[in-house]
Amino acid sequence: MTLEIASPWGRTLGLQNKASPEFSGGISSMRKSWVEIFPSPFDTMSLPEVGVSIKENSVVVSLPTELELSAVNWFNQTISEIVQLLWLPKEWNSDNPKKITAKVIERMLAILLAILDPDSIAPAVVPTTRGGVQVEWHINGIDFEIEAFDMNKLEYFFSGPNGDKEGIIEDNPDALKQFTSWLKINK
Amino acid sequence: MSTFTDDSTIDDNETIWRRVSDAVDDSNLNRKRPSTACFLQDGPDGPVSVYLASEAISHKIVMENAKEPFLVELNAGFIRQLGIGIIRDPSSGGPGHALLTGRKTRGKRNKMAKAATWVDPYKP
Repeated sequence: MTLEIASPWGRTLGLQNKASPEFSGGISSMRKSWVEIFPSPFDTMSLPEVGVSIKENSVVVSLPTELELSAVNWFNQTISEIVQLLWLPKEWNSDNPKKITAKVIERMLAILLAILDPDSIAPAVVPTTRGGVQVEWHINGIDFEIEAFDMNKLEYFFSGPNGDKEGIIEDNPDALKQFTSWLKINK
Repeated sequence: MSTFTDDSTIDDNETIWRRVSDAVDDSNLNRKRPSTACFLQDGPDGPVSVYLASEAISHKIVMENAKEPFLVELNAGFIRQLGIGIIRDPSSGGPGHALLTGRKTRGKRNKMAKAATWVDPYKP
C-alpha cells in the first residue's frame, strides 16, 4: 500500500507499508503482535521498526505492518507533518538551526506508533533548533510533549493535575504509560 | 553546567520580545500559544535570543529580516522568577538585543510559552 502526500514545496512524499506476515490486520493487531514479541516494550525500549529513506523528490517511509490508515485518527496528518520537516529550509529560523535527519524522524514515528492508540488525538508537530522534532498536546487539562533530537534520545514533559514531570524516556520508560491515556477525545 | 548571569540594570517591568516560528493550539487556554520549542536554541543551558522592547528601535526593526513570522512578549520580572537571567547583547543582534541565561527546563519553557502574549501584527 502506498500513500502519496503532496508537500508544500511541490514535491511528493511516498508512504509505503512493508507487508509482513506476522503483522497484519491493522494498527491494533500490530500493537498486539508487537507486545507479544516484546512483552513490556517500555522495559526494553524496543520500538517498532520504522525506516525513512530520502530520495531526490520523495521520502519513503517503511512501516512494520499493513496499517488500516482510515481507522487511525492521528496517523495521516501527523506522519505527513513530521516527514515534511525533512524539507525545511536550511535557515528556517534566526537561531542557526541544525538539520533534521531521517534518523530523528524514524525515532519519532516509532515512539508514536508505540504509545498512541488509533483514537488518540493528533499532536501538534514542530521542529526544534537543535535538529529535533517535537510533538505536543495541550488538551484535557494537560500539557504533554515529546522531542526526538538525535537518534538516541527522546525527552518528554508532562504537566497535569499532579504537577510537572520531565526527563529522558530511556531513563524512565514507564513514565509514558501513565500519560498517554490523557490523549483521547472527551477523556 | 549552566552559567546563570543576570543584568540587574534591566528593570523587572521591561518587556521582553522573542521572535517565534510556531504557534500551536492550546485547548486548555482556548487560544494559540507558542510552542515550548520556541524557547530553546542549542539546549536547555544555551542562551536564547530576545530583545528589550525599551531599547530596540521598534518591533518593525526586530522583525525586519526575521525568518520567524511571529513575535511574543513576556515580562522580565516573570522570566527572573523562573530562575532565568537576562543580559544585554547588542553586539550580536543590534540595539536592544539580549540573551536569556541559565537552565531553561521544559517546565520553565512551558510557563514562558503559556505566559507569552502575541505582539500585533505578528500574531497567528
